[in-house]
Amino acid sequence: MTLFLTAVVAGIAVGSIYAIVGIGYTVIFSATRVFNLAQGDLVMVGVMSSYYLLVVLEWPQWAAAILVILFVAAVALFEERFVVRRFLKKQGTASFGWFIATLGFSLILETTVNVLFGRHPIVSIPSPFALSAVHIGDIIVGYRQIFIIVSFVLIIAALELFYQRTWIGQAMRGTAEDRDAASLLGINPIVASRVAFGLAGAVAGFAGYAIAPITFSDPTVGLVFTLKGFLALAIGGFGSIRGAIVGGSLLGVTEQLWDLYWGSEYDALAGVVLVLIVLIVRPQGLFNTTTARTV
Amino acid sequence: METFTRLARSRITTGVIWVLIGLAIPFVIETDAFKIGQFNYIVSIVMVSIGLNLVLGYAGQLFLGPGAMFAGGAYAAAYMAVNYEPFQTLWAMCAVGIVASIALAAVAALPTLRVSGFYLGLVTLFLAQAIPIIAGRSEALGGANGLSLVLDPNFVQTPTGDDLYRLGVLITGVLALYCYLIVNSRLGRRFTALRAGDDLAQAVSVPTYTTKLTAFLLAAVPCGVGGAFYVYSQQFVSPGSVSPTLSIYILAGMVIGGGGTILGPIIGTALVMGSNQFLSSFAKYQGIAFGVLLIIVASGLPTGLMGLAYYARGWWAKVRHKPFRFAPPLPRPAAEARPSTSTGERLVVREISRRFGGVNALSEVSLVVEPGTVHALVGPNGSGKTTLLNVICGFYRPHGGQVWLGDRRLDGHHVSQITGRGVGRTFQTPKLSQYDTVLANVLVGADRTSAGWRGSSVLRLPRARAADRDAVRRALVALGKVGLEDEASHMATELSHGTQRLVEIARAVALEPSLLLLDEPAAGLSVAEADVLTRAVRSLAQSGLSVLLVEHNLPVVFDVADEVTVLDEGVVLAAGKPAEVSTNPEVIRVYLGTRRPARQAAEVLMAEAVDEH
Repeated sequence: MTLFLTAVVAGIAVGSIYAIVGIGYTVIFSATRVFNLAQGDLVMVGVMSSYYLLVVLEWPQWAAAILVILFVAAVALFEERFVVRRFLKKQGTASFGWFIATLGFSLILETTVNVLFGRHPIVSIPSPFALSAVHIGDIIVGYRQIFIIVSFVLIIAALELFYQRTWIGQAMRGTAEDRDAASLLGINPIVASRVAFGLAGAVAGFAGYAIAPITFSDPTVGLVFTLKGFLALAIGGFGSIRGAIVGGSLLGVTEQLWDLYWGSEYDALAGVVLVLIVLIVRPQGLFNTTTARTV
Repeated sequence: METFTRLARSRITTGVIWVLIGLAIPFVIETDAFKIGQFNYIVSIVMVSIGLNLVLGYAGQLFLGPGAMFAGGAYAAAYMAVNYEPFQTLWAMCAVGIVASIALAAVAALPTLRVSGFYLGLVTLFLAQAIPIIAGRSEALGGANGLSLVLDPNFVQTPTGDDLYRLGVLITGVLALYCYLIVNSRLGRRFTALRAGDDLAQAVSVPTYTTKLTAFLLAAVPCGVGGAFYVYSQQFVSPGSVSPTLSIYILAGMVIGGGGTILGPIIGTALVMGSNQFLSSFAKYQGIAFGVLLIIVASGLPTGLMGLAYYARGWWAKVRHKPFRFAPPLPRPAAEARPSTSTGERLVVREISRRFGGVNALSEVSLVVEPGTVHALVGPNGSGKTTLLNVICGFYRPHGGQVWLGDRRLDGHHVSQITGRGVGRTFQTPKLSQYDTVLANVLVGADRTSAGWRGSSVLRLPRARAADRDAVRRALVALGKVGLEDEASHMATELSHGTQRLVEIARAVALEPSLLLLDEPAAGLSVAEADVLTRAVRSLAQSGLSVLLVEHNLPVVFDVADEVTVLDEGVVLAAGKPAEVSTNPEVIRVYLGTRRPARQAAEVLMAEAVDEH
């Protein structure tokens, strides 16, 4: 039982990472109908720039955190302008061009980071928190796991505030519900797309900084995040932050429990098995809120 | 028909020439055992790109993890060959590879294709990422070292060296032919309909789920052969040889070369994998180059290098002042293949209601369309016209009321069933397969009434060939009805917007419907184009069809309609002859917002339209 609960807590911590990637997808998708396949690589850029600032340049933690967030947001805005923008006008066609284009951008990010840091050894990245743990009863919870879960809750709270309380956030919710109506009401879809990418980039940057101490400086983790974030959404359902949270946690916990009971030989399959089961039982995901307009 | 045979023959000749070029490479470039190994590796990846092209290039379904099927085929072939001696021949390994690849495809596709869009793509990419991890940890699959046939004394490679490479090129040629036969059949035309969108596919009676599944399972065959050829020629497979990046490179090769063409993916993948193998100083940066190329091709050049070659040929013809056509012109049909069986039937819409959330988009709307007449549906934006069209053809289910066509009830049935009962429609934005000929676009409609098993069309069985010839004739007849028989061999993308709309109508007519639904066919047309359209619609109605027309362009409405129904906020405001409706004060107040009679307003609009051109 103790092992079980420890695995559950660890699963929630890992799942938070997947959920954060999933939320990044949701923020961009709801404003632009583009599924940004470079989202995981944005998180990876966050991890690697944390590595550069903290390990190579030895900056203080707070300064590194701020710069990482700003830098990744800038990368996302660059992507919006040069990769995604031209596809926003072609709404309604069955073209999946943006899918290929964002995949191309993810390839560019991964290769660039590899060229810059590929020769560096993979090392651990310092964390503001020690590698110790608290004991709650018999359950062991690491400080770094707590840090990830707390940062995750903070990100969600900030996004909720943004969408509920600010004018632009409410306008973007309008865009999510009906693009045509939104542009009739004077909400510029380009502005909505720019804000969405900036926001998703900032979230990815913060996530990268927060998880850097547990992922090490490995430039190939981007694709894994991209895929796990998607699986989280597929489980939880597209279009809602709640879906991403539930899906991410379920995925993380399933992986940890699979490891615990069936060993690590096939644990890479845990996610896809869970998704296929969800798709068979409930194809729209657990909490889907999107409704499609066909013609 | 001769022109068609000639076109097919010239395509096959092109294929044979490329196979010969592939075979000649070891004569031109000095080779050693290592280099031949690299060539064989490239050949096996090219085979995978042929499979990817069927799903992504032709059927337009996202399939991001072709490496997963390659890996499945490779590991299965290696496992059987290592453990059971009879499975050590190339053909046995190919068979194992195909079976494993299809099994994997089925597991990935059966659940994910139920949800539209990108689930298939990402789940297959996930498999491409998971398989090397699993294989690396599995003892049966050799762990991190992989499975190797090198030290197996029983394993004899025949042929070897250059000859094995040449055999690989020949197999690739066979797979390309396999792809060619599929895409130039009734089945292949269904794939391209899917590429233009699920809506369109349903509107031409294509069952979307089974067609997507078929495309994916057929695509698993070249992927599995590629995996088997890899293992046979390299004599080993390890987690490193099936890394997830491989999938992205195959994708890059296919997209850059030109998806939706036979040759493009083969050349593109050979170039991408060639630069990966031979340009080692560039290897570090090639991800950046491929990424940039992917973005460029995705945003402006959907058929990649092949599209570029096509434009270059057009430019060269222009320089030499020669006419350039994508395909030779087709002869006009001498006589109708078999008389069109379609006759108009009476459409009765009885008290249809439809809500969206709390909004009543349609409240108890009724109308009747008599055979041989054109009924126009007009109204301000958001008055429910297109919603009614979508209810009639089954995209939306009504919350109340009934729809009857002749003595058959339509409401409550699925779109493709309703299409099967004789309803053809067009869309507000033309949904054409842009890089196909006009004829191919219309053929997918004519195919609906062709009898027989679709596989027989792939295999070119005699009866299917006759049915296909018949479909071509009927498609040409349909094109003739909108005055486009001379444009049959043009690429859709070469046509003006107005002509594309006429092609859409021809496709709907080729379904041989008894009711034709036209959704704003005149939007964005020039006056001359609108005139052609009006005449086409009139003559279709005269041939007996029932036509329901949603239209904003009032001159067109008054020109062509026998009856007019005016909708406002989901309610029928007025109905009757155009002359009656246009003087109805309610209509003038709501619809035109002025005191001018509608006819006069129409003339003003007409004058404005003339000014614009």
